[in-house]
Amino acid sequence: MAALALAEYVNAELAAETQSLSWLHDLRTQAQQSLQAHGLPAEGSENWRYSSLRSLLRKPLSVSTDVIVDEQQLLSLVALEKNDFRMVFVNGLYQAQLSLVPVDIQISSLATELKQQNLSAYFTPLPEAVDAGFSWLNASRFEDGLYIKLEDNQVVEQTIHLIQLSVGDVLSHGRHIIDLGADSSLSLNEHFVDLSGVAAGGLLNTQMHILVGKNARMDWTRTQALGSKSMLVDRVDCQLSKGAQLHCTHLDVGGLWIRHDFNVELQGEHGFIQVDGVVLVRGRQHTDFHTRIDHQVENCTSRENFKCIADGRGRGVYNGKILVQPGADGSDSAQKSANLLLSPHAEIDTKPDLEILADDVIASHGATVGQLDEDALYYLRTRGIDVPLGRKMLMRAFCQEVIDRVKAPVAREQLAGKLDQVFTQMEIT
Amino acid sequence: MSAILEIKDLYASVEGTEILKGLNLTLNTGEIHAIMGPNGAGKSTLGNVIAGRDGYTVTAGEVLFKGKDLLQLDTEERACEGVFLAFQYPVEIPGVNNTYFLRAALNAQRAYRGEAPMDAAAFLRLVREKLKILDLKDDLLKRAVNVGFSGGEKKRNEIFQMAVLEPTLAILDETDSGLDIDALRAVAAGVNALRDAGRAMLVITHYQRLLDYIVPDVVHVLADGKIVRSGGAELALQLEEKGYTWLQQEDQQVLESS
Amino acid sequence: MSKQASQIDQLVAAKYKYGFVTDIETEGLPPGLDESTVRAISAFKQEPEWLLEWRLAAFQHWLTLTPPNWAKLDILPIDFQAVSYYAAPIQDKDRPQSLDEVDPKLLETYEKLGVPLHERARLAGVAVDAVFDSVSVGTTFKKELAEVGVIFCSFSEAVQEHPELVRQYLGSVVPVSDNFFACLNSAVFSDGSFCYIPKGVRCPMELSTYFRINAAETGQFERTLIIAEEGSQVSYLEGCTAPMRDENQLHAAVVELIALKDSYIKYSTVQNWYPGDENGVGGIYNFVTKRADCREDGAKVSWTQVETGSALTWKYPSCVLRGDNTTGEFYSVALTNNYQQADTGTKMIHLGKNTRSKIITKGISAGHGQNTYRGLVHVGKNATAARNYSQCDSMLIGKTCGAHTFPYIEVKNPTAQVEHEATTSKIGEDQLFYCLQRGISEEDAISMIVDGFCKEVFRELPMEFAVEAKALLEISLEGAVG
Repeated sequence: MAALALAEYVNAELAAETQSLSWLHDLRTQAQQSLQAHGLPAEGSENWRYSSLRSLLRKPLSVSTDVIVDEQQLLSLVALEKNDFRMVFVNGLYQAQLSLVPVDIQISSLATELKQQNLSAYFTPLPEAVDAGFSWLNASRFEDGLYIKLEDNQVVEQTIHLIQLSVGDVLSHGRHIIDLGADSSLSLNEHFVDLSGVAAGGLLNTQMHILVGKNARMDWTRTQALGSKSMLVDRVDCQLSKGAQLHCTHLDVGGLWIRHDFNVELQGEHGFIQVDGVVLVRGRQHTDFHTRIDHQVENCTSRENFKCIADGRGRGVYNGKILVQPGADGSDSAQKSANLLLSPHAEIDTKPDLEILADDVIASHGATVGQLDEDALYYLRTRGIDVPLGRKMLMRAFCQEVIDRVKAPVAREQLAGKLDQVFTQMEIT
Repeated sequence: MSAILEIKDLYASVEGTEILKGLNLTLNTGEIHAIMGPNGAGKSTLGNVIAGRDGYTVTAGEVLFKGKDLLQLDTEERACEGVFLAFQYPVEIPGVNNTYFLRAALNAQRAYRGEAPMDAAAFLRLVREKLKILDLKDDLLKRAVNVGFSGGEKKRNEIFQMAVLEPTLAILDETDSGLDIDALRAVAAGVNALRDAGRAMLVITHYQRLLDYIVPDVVHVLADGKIVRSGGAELALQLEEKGYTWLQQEDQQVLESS
Repeated sequence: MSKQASQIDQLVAAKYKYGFVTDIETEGLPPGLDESTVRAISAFKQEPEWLLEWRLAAFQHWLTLTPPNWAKLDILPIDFQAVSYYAAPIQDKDRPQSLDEVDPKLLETYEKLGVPLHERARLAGVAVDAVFDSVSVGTTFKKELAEVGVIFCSFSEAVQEHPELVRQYLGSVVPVSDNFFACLNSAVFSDGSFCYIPKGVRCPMELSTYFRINAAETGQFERTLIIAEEGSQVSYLEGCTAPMRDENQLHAAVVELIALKDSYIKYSTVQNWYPGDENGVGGIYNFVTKRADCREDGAKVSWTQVETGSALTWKYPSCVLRGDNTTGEFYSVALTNNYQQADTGTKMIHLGKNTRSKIITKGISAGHGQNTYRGLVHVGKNATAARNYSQCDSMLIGKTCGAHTFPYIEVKNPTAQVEHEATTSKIGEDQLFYCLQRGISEEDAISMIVDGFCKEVFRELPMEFAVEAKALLEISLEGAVG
């Protein structure tokens, strides 16, 4: 298929289903109908207020073809060793020859798994909101993704890496399912990386469905270091059962146009969610981070801490919504959005929302927009550190709070290392 | 004995207000000079002008450091040349680890001098050695710069940095303020350990107390932006006894008698 | 707890104190809205041609608009044809020459409201313009104000007496096309207050307007215009009440403030429109557009509002900080009890250099009340060294209410410092217990704690208003204890 503008994919015919799965066929048809009825999120949609799709819709994109990727090159790109467990997807398609998976758990590619069992429960119901266009686009066209199912009490000691590599001007629809049984535990480090070079870039339209069972725990890092022309529309839906814990830290340091929707439903008592992020936008980068944490039952805790640095012509958007449903007493929620605005052409838009419908609640949020501390810069200079290095040190320091909150030592070091690398390579005056 | 610092007829203002009004001062290697004076005399301004803080505008005069025009240099270049300011209010920098900070500073100064960066192991040895001098605990190295430090720890951390960076000129800006007697002794011991024939120090203080422990070669009294009196260590004692008004009265008498 | 519950039931029955109907004859237009309505209102008021044209243009534009639906409000569809757009006490034709000639029933009404309209209200030192249904019925202290050159009169009078000022400033802050309700107001506004403070004058007394909707099936569309010339200062107070009626009545006002060089306008509102009964029947739909333009350097505008009434409040008093070194402030207490809904907040638009803004809001939700803070802090590209501080606190009383916070922060200048904080909490059980243990009743303890919660805002109100606001809050909270 020749390259089409993204807008044209909305009405493009669906590929004939290769497997005779009627539920999947129905799902795709229904998703396509919604997509054609409502399209991609329109201008004026409140949730897309600060993220115009104009540049996306025009972008010519082709569908995935085979790409040969050198294993060594890939490993160095994500700073992994040869024996680290990993699931590798190139332009959304699973690459068995580049992957290494533990044998004692259910972990496979979604395409394979669809042939083994009926997974329809993970896909329904489809989102109904009129601005769910990218979800429908994904549901109607996804081919592959990560599938992990942990049985009760299964504890995976070693970290598993999910690598999503984008090569060229390709539109991909990664679809990932992680289902953690009661008292199980998983560490997942996710990497969005790119080998498109400076001239090309893809659009990754990913969807992730995560179930964290009773008293299960997931530690998760997500490093987005896509190339300077690539775009990402990423939606995550998490459901936490009683006593479940999910710790997730984002590092968004790459890409041209990025949108995250991170949705969490706290469905069982004493659930705990922490979602943090460091977002760096420079050049003409645009990153829009939406989180929605829904306290549906009593005594759950949510924590959010986002740090954004906007320089150049970058634009950093944050919209964090905390919902406390009627009866969800004992909810404890704290949310923080701290931003550094460093250039006259950069922009920060932040909106920490609270919707509280129960009274026995602790909910607080804060947002700040400011600059590097001039006194601290002066202090550094009096010790002999020049302005560019001083500024980098202070930017790096601004992010440290998020890094310090990462519980797993290995993941913490990996994120810190990535940040150090970004700031070391950063050109600044 | 050669001059490390020569300040000639220095005028400086902050936000349009003239603070220093024709200040002259010469400091030779190996010397410790104390600058005393009432609040608002311009003591801290002097420190900040020498260190090169933004917003402190020199309107006239010159400052020579080892014969070089210091005012032409950026703040960090002055530091690399060997000027160290121990802050009255050390700045807290959350997220920057103390060790990392100090190593970055040391290596910036080494690079300026054309020396190779110090590796982590050698740096750690150096730092451990200097910690002992200040009687500071190891855990200080793991913490963020000045964050959560007590007043005394902050001031000791300043002197500790000075010990590591080994400046030619150290300016101690009210290093005694906010310290109890034990902390004061520890800080003074640290400073005295760094007394060296190749180094000069300018000790800015409001009270004579610190000078019991760091005995200066020369005491200057700074008032209304000028040095109004210079003398030996005994001048500080006289000031302590009679207060700053004594000087003003005496000046008045001098004026009247002439 | 059961004993408390029964107390609560009793207290829930506490009646809206201002819910009387004044039995006086009114004349007006039958319900309905078309071009002839607009022409009729203009004719009633013997307006100049330009103003009629202005109204008609607004009406034509309004026809193209649809009501906004973005607020977190559950609104029954409003039938704009069922509203009467003009009602006036019938005596208006031969208007009283002095307050002595005013219908005594009307004066009685204001006395019930606690409005110091009559001369003896001099003690309060407040100059009052009162708007009854659609028209202004009397302005006190006119002479005293005229001596210093302050013009304070009804909007209708200003159109006749000071057309050049009205024409210059009307719609210059809130353009006709600004939003659905402002546009409707521009077409059908009936009366309101006009205030002009000349250069360098510090207005010698507080200026005040009381608004009251009395007639049934009547909407009130008043328009307030305040102009503060260079170096002038004024403190303006506004109070609102309405009788108890089962249907929802519409109130869609527009307030425009123009603050010129180094002037200061302080605008305080105690809004106590009828909130509907405990089942959510009746009450005022309050859609208000209030905006200040700090048009020249050094101007300052401070909004303070205490919102305890209305079934539904849609209101965002805003400041456009256009001049350099201008300041905008917004202090708000909004209380929703029973089935009241409020979506209120502010917009601080930083355009000039060294502009400052401060937002302090206290939302209190009780019963089935839904209380939303919606605010925008916008720092434009050229707004060097802008500063904003916002603190938005919510308090929930009971399990069936809601408190929501939607702060929009948009910053395009790298010297800006913006800080927003928000907290949501319920009345602390330990605080309550502490008070009870000291022998304070639960009712008193709650009102004490709520009063403390709102202190920062009450402090901003002129003294006599602060007392009224505090009392209002207590009345509105009665029965809310859970």
